[in-house]
Amino acid sequence: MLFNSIEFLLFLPLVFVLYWFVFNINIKHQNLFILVSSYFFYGWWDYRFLSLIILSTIFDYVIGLNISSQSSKKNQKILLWCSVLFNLGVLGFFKYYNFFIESWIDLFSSIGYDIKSVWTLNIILPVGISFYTFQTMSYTIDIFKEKLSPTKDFVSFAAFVSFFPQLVAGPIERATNLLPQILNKRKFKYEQGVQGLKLIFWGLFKKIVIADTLAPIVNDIFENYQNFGAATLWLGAIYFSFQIYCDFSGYSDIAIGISKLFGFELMSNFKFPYFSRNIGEFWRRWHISLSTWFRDYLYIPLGGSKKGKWISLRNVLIIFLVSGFWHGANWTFIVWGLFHSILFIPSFVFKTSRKYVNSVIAENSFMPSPKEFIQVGTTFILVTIGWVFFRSETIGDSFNYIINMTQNFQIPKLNYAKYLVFILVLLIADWNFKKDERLEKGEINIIFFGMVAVYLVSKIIMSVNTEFIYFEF
Amino acid sequence: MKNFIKLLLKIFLVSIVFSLVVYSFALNFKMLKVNENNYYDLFTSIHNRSVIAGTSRSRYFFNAESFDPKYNFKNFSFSIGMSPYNNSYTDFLINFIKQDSTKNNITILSVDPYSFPNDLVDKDDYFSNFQFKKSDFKKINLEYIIKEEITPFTIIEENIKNVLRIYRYGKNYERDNRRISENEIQKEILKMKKPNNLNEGSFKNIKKLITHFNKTSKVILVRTPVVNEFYEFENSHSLNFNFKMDSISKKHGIRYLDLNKFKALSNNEKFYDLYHLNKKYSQNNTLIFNNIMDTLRLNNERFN
Repeated sequence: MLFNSIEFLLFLPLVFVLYWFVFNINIKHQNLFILVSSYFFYGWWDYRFLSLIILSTIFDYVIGLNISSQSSKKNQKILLWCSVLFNLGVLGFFKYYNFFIESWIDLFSSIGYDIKSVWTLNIILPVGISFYTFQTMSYTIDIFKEKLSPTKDFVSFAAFVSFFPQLVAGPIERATNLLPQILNKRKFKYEQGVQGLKLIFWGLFKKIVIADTLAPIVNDIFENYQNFGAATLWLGAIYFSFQIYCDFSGYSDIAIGISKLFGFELMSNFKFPYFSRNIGEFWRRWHISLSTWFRDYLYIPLGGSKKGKWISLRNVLIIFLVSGFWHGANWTFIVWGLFHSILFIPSFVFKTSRKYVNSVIAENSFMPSPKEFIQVGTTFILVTIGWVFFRSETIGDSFNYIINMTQNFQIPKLNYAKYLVFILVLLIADWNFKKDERLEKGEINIIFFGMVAVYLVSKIIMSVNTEFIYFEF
Repeated sequence: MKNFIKLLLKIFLVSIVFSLVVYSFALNFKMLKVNENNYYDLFTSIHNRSVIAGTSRSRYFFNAESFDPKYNFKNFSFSIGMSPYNNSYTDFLINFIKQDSTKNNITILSVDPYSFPNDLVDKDDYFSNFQFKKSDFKKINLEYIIKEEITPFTIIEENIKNVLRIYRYGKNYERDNRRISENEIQKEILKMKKPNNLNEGSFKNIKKLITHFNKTSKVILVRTPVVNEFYEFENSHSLNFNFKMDSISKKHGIRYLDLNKFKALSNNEKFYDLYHLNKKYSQNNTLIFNNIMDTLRLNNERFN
């Protein structure tokens, strides 16, 4: 079920009412209700997907209990590896099996061996598999690291794995954050509810109005890039930068907002990444739940930056390549990861990557300084070039697109350029909120929200519901 | 919680009031046809007249009002998105048009390499789902609003667009005056999918329609003109289309006219895009077609 669908417009109020007014007798009833609602929400795509998430839940639940009951560290490690291999195995089979087979066939073909493609399978990629497998993996790893005690309450654990607001596209929650909230009684807070409502509206606006409006223009430009001059191609790349940002951060806002309505606080996933002053800052602001996941569960276990310069560089490279590959079974994503590692490594070497950890742009002024302006502009341009790899169908297309971005400058047609207005609106709004991505607290303007509600519902009814880009990952 | 529910109810109430205000304005100031019944009249009433059927190409090409009134034409062409010549469209034409065989009726069936698509989602139930009553023009037609998804913001959006058009092109601006430029032609052709093989089901339906309307009218099979370069593109990808249509027409004793071959009709300047005529030339071309019918004596059996 999509957030931007009529079905969900009916589903959400119904679940909200039942959750707070019928199943609030005790926490067990509420958690069971969350679980059933989440399975219903997920099964709406394809009920067969449920079998995989249930299997993954049972497996990690059992492993989690067993890890903590083992006294020997060696046995705990074996169990942890079972969990990691199982989760990565499921992910690898459903997401990467055909990619590996096809890559092998291509490799053999390039050296003269013609192998028929009999090994590829017709596999459907279950929606959100990359998200919930990472979430369950973090559970067993945290138990192994003794950061968390396993829960014996299977229903609550299953509700944690399948919690519907963030099930299919994150934020990838840590068990240490979400599970205790599921295990403890929730209380409805007016302030939290209002904030949730604002986030839902803002997220829907970003998705339905901005991302979905830019999508056909982006598709047109990327599919016919040979026919356009450099300026239009730059416009296409910039539009995609904002399309993917509005699409994904819109989803995250809606997910965080809905969770607030049910009394949960999810982690932040985006903090205005296009106001970043260098690549390091960008990665602390973009898809935070994934980048911190890789930091905590891959980069640090590999040795992080404490085992010498070369090991650190190797670890950085691994993180970016794996992060690229996580997004999809295509070489374009791997090249995208590699491209970002090339951008990141110089600032890592010269120790400037962590320069802006605790500050935001124009912290004490209304406008950025000229230096900040140049920094943000440069970072944005580099990130936008990176998105060309991400969006293109093949690596060849992405390089050709980038080459064409340097040739034949013509003023883009007004039909293409007019959508810059949407970007301007977004930037003004983001600039206002840049210190607190959860939007400011305080009352809602009922007339304004009433009109926006009509607008959003109108858009949902009128448009063909488009999936969120990150569902594919 | 009580306060939150109150807040939600207030937002809901404002939404309803706002929507009602917009609909009322739209109705009273004719901002948008919220009681439009053009298609419902077309597709729900029984007709006794000459028929034009086909896709949007023939909807744009033929201006029913510009024909000689003796023909009493009505244009029933419908968007390709609803799969022309599928079962429900065919059934509708057969069931809703009761031609009187003693009258001078003509049936124009417009065909082209794209009008028998294989790859469209089957919308076979589209026409059979019409159950609209004739609407009262003084009231909002709720059924129309819901089924056509006319939301308050459709009305606002459309009117903003109209204001912008008037601002840009002046009061007398008509969208259909637009002409496709030579630069656009090549770009648009590049974007076009190649025509598919003919859909067998639709192909059978066109034969069914010819047989049916041949009993009560004179049937003409036409291929409406498109931009010259696009005509070449179509022909290069569906080499035997004209041959197939010729053989059908011979088999049923009717005429097949590829109007692209009439220079007076297929001037690139007349087109809005690759295959839609702009409104100005639609009237003009209909008059020329009227003359072609007379010249070729297509109508001689019934009118002379």
